[in-house]
Amino acid sequence: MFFSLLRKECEMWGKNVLLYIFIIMIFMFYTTQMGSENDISKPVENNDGYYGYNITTDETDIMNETIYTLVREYSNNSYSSYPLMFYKEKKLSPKESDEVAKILETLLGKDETQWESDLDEYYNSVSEKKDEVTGIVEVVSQQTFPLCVDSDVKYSDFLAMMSQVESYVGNGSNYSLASMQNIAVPMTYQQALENYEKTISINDVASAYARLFCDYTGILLGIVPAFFAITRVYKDKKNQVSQVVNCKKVSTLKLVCSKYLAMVIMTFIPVLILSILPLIHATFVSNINGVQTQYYIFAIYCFGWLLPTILFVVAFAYFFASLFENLLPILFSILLWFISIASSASTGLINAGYNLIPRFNELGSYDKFEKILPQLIENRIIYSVASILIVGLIIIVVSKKRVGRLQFNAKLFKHTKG
Amino acid sequence: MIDKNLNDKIVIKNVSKTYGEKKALNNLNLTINQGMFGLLGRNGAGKTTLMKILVTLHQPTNGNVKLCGIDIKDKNKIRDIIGYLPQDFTMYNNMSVYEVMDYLGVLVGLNKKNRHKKIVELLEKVNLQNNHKTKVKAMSGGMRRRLGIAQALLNDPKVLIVDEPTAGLDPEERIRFRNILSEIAGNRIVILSTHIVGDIEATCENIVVLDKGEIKFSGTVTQLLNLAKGKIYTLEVAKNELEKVKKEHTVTGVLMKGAKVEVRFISETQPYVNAMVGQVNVEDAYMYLMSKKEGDSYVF
Repeated sequence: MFFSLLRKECEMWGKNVLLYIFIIMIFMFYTTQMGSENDISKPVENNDGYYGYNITTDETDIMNETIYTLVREYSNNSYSSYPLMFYKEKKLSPKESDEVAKILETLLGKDETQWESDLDEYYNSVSEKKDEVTGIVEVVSQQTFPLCVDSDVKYSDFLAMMSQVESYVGNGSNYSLASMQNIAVPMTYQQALENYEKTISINDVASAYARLFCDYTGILLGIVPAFFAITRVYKDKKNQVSQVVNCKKVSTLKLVCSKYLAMVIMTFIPVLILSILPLIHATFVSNINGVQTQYYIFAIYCFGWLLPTILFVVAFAYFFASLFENLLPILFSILLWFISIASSASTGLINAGYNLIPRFNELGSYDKFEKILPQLIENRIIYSVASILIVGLIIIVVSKKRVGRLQFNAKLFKHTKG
Repeated sequence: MIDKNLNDKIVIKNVSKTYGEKKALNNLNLTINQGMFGLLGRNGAGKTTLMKILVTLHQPTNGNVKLCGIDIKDKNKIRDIIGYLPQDFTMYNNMSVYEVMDYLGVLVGLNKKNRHKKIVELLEKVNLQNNHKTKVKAMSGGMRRRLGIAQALLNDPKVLIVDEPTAGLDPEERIRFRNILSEIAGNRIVILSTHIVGDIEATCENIVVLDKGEIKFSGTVTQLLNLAKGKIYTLEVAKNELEKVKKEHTVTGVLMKGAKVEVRFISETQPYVNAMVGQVNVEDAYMYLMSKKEGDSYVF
């Protein structure tokens, strides 16, 4: 009976326009986001010396890059921050500016007059060069940037000073620890080559594309499946289907699990099918680089990385939808998604932690992935187990609803019929 | 445990149901035997609450109910023997008639082979044999109700409960639906809830009238008619005198006859010299019953 019911539920989703909207959405999202990535290829030494960027862990690099930003923002008294993902400009009070000036003097080992003079000299040497073909204007200077951290400054002291600056500017500023841990600096040819060789030697080509695919697709899967669950429960209530269904012989366990699994399956199948596109691309890139394609790798990533997201998002939305039987849970789901996206935005788009939507917005970089992998595995297990527990709660809620209990009269978005 | 002496009865004992402060059912005692049983009452009288208790969608606050010897608390067994057609039955609009039956057939535990056989048989019974592929959204109100009754019969229920099945149907569909109900009654208990007196008159022998959660009347249609015997009068008056009669009595019918009006009304005694005692119909008797003061009940 359970599998017949599951098949029926899947068939019903197969005829639902919402599923096709979802398919179009993930396809569009994939083509617009992933299509723009550069491919994995052996770096070639060139004159302009550009080999991409890499997030640095070098303390001196971090301090110098942060000082560069701080000098610019201090000079304009315009500090940018992203509290809750949205841009916010902050102007500091004269007292706060004085404190920042003192910090800069300590960091640079120069008084303000001196470093301003160095800076003026540097900007006077800057000229603009326009590329005849592309029309792009490039800023060039004969000198290197003159301001760098004083050799006497310890990294721990630097972090304490940045923490002070952040207290003036606010959360999500360029001086937060998360932000400083994600400072990208240009790679040297040697670094780019090492990266490439590592990727090829461990045959990480298909995995690299799979990680990027999971990163992008995870963003959509963090919210869209919620609409499946919420609209389904709402539709049942609105059409009074639940009255007919609830007094049938079927057990609540079968009823809930069949609906839940059907939503998960029908969300996951298009994702699996879509993953064939980057797999084809990864096969092509693997061939060019002379490594064998690991065809199964996308399936592993989809099951291990994306499926727990779908399991949790559907369970979360289904639980609140069952409880309230209105459209209010849309707000809860959006909030959950927003918190997940916002928390990853401040950590440079490479993180797992306890975030519902783990991010890995880089092609390659196996070393970084290796670092977050244990965390990622733990994260995915937690969300999978949590999903099962939530489904248990849904069964309790629905079994109570079937006998007329837990009837809430939330007015927001409540249907008007019946 | 199943009590075999109660195998073909519904026994409702001291049942009350409250929603917050509101008492929807107040200490109800009732026994319903096989055959068509009518549940009458105004909107809000407690009919739907009672039916929802019988189909396990609600739980009584107090009292107990046994359906064919099975305690209402044993929900799985109760759900196996009941069929329910709720008011305004509908299903997903994009499903076809066959798909609706097939889906609900799975929910009652029919296997594929039996399901197909049963669906064909039931759709024929409700005259939807040519509508297997018709989408729910394309069905008329009458067709939906017939589909509703077919789905309620999927598990071959001992107890069939239908809530306001003819509301909003045209006369032809209403008669057709009533006939279907009578045909399928057989040796089942069929509870028909309605506020349309004509439905009860045409199909039910035993009836209960609920008012404010209490039984106002319980007995046969004949007993209800007898209750109002000699209390229904007809009188021919000039049009301008109609308002006076309306003010003094509960009027159950008005027939225009040129310059005159024939008015039917309720009265305990003959109020006017030329008023004549009229033949009582169920509608008159129901109106008479409802005109009685709150708390008066007639249980036969």
